[in-house]
Amino acid sequence: MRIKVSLLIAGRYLKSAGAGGCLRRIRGAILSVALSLIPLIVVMEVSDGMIQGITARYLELGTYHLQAVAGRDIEMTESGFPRLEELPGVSLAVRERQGVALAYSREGRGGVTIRAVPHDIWEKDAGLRTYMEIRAGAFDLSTADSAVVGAEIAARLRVQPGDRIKVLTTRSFSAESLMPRVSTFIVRGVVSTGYQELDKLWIYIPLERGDRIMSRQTSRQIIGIKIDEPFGPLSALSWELRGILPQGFRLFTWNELEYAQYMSFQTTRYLLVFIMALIICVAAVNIFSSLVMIQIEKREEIAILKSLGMSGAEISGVFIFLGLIVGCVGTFLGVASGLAISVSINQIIAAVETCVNGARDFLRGLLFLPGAERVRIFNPDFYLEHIPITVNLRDLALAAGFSLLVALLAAWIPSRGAGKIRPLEVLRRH
Amino acid sequence: MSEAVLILKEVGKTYTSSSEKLTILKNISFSVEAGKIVVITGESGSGKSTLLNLIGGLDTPSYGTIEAGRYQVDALREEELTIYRRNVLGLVFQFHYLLREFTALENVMLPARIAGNSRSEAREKAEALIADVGLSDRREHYPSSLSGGERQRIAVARALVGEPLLILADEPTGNLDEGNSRMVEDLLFSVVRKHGKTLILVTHDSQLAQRGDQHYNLHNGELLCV
Ligand SMILES: Nc1ncnc2c1ncn2[C@@H]1O[C@H](COP(=O)(O)OP(=O)(O)O)[C@@H](O)[C@H]1O
Ligand SMILES: [Mg+2]
Repeated sequence: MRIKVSLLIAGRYLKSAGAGGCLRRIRGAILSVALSLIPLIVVMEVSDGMIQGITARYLELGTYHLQAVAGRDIEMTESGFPRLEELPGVSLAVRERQGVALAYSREGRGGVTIRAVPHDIWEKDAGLRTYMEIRAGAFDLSTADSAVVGAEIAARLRVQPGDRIKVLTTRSFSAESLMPRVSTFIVRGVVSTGYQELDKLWIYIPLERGDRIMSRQTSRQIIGIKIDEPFGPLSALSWELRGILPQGFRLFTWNELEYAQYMSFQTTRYLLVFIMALIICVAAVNIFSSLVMIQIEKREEIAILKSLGMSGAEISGVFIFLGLIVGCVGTFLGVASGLAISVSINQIIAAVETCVNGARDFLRGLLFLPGAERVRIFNPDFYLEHIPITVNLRDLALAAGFSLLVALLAAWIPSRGAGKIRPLEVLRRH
Repeated sequence: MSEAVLILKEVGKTYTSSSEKLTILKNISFSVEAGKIVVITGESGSGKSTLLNLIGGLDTPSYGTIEAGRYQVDALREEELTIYRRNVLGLVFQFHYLLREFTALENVMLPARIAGNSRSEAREKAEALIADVGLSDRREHYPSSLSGGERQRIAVARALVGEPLLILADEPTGNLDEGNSRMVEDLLFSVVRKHGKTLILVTHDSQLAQRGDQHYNLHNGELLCV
């Protein structure tokens, strides 16, 4: 088989513009490949950023990046605290004691999770400062009776900074006896995590006070660890940490702790990617029909080429090559525009919001209606103000490879058909 | 006596449609020597094209054998037919069948390129043949800007570029007016003679028959030497 001749013919078909030319069909197919690839690329690149952003809020506020969880028989006030912060790559390691409790005021009550943390955590934990919004007062745990409560709890108990709340915890010293204990706190701050279900759960108190009102039997003792690169590979650092941790501790990474959450995001992402990949298959139908049309339009030429001594394989080669060109050029254009859109997605969202709001304000002005709150595409209370975009080369390569493969498969059948054309059947018509 | 390029033995062709059996050619035997021009005449529908298609390997005989060069044409498989057409045949049809995306020169070069000649080799041969048919000044033109006679002259050049053992021409002037017909015929004969090629020319124009070395007439499916 002489590839040169196939290339020669295909190259000429690509150049043949005008009414009966193939170029129009080829261009259409290229465009459909490019357009179909854009949503896939954008979904892959942007969803990664969004998942990271949304997950980051959970990590920074709740689960830490890694957690060393103490076994039931360890009492950390006695066993001491391993010096994890000195390990390279670790930016924070704090002890925390968590337990369930009943919180009440004169006005209301509710079940809560007590989070007893070092009094200076606000100063030490940059991630906490970034994601936690202070609604009233301050994140102040400087005195033993200080408490910082979630916004939903504050609303339920109808308390503000300066008000008192009571907290009912239990301590148990043996398997049989469970001792209730009431402690009084003064609300120093009201905070919001951005997630309602967390805001109705969390009360922060100083660690030392927590150690006194909750025992190891009724609470969970952890070392919360934050590291420099939570979204990088975690296995090496986890190995090192496991080596340092004393007996009885178990280490969990954030994606183990937030497994369900993370998996639900990932599953959504896979589903989206799957749907977008289907769009590429629609483009394949386009390639297929374009090549079939070319094959029909060029039947006579193909017949003559065969009678001039071109083999079936060489004729098929022409169509495979056309499919490849469509695949390559379309994929290149699609990946390039998809990337361009992904990288500037924040600006695009902002621009769309500006347009929508501008149009709405203009209409309201015409109708003399009062102004209203800005329309936001993504509610920043739940999503992110700014979607972090990191270009994922592996996903890009996968998408490009997939679209190329699909283009080739789409060219396969018309190419076979072209190769099988029998000259006589066509030439007899004249 | 020179060697036979083409030998047909007892070749027949029948088409069986749903109801009847249609006999187009029966028991045709003849041979053609190298460098000879054979003219086959016959009325329209007498089976001239069918006969050429059998020789060209575009169709298969119902019975009989066809030998051309080293090939037994009726027994060739698809891939072998490709090689056969590439190495042995040059075809001219009633319709020019030039490719519209290629210039006259490129059209003539194409069979040589298909046969594996380099671009410069093919170009050299094609330019010489285009000069032979008197269209050197038109070689960069696309078929759409050539006249019917010019297209057919280019088609003649294309049939010769692969240095075929055997040229098959099926009413090459059938679509042309009187004047152009003469010109194309003259060129075809002179170019074939000049290159010492073997030609089988099919036509319903019995005047032409006189100019060949041998003349056959197809009638009622039988080939008669005239
Ligand atoms: N595939 C076919 N099936 C049935 N009849 C055919 C077929 N091809 C050709 N014929 C018939 O064979 C006869 C000879 O055709 P052809 O060789 O084209 O004649 P010519 O070239 O001499 O005008 C015609 O009557 C035509 O209808
Ligand atoms: Mg005919």
